Amino acid sequence: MKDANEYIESGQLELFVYGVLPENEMQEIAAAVSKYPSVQAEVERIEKVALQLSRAVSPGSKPENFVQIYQGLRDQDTVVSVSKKQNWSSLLAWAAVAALLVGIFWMFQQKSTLTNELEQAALEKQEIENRLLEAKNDLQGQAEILAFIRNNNIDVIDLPANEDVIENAYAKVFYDEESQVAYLDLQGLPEPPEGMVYQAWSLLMDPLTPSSIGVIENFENSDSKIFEIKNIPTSEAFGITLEPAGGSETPTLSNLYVLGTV
Amino acid sequence: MQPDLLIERLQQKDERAFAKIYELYSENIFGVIHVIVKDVAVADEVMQDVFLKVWDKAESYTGNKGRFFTWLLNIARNAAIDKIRSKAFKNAQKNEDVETFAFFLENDENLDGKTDSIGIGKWVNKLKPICKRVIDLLFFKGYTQNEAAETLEIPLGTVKSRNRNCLKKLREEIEA
Repeated sequence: MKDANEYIESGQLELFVYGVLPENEMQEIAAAVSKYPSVQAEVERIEKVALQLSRAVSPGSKPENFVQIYQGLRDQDTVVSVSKKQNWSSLLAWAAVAALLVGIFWMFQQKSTLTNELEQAALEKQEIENRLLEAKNDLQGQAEILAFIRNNNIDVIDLPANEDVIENAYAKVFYDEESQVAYLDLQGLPEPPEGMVYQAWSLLMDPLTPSSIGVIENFENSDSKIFEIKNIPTSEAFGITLEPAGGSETPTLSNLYVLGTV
Repeated sequence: MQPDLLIERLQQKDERAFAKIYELYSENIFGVIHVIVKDVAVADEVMQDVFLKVWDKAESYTGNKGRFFTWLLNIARNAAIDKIRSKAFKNAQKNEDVETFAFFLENDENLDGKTDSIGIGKWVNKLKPICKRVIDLLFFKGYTQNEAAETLEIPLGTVKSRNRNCLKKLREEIEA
């Protein structure tokens, strides 16, 4: 087995690019090209000279050649042979016109296909960017929630179901008394019926005084079912009721779903 | 350096890849065909046959037998040689006095926009006559080492090294 330098010096690489080696040697060199980067580089340099040489001797091929070739691809049977020129010059002229039209039509078609593909790609890119932005926002929001929940000053309040009204429901409140912020985790509540919303209440016990702290307007659209509520007054308990859309002045106790004390 | 992706798409009958391949290699192929047939109109005709074959037989190309350019080159040389062996061509043969490919560099009157050819022509003309003939036979005409040795009346064992030295000289001049 030869090493890379021996191949380079052998003179075989030149003949490999020319394609004039016996088949077994062609395969041997092809294998050496994939094996040794230096052999590949040499072959590419030789090919470059061969390309320059062959291009330099070209008297310039006519652009119509391509149109005719292209027409030939489409319909191998109707390739117009240049050798018929003497006898069929008028036919050839018409064929050339047809070929040119086909060519022009093809180029327009290609251009419009490309334009469409480009527009489509731009739309897709925009959509992906939007989704990325949404994902980033979601992530940002979740990171904020997580940071809030992990904070030492947070009270975690379980709001068990009011079994008289609903079974198997629950909610949680993460409550920061100092900053008067709470996150409600309503994952354990069913979707409110059409025309109804959940309303959160802060309660003082003695005397029993409910104050509305927020109406959950977009329950259906939230993936996390976690809602932030600010400006919460001092609370001894939290409750959530089902109310007509827009919320109510006072809680509808027959629809008190969950309730828990701080 | 090899347009692998284009080749793959060509093999899947992608017309745009074909058009691109044509754009990349047509002048090289036309040059080689023209050196063999020595007539532009005939070269046009052969060129059409060649690229139709490229389209038809693209799947048969595999990298483990050689370069894609080499594959094109073989199709082009074979088609051009078939053409000059045909009766119709022999009856109307022209340019009998052309010795090697270098003729088309020296005698090219239409040099507008062909700066490449002016540049390389200058270097080719500096080569020894034997170099021009070796490159002409092996590269442009596709002679085997045996055929070239016989035609040039030089020992078989020296064909490879002569060609390498000639091409190397050309390369050094171009790259300098």
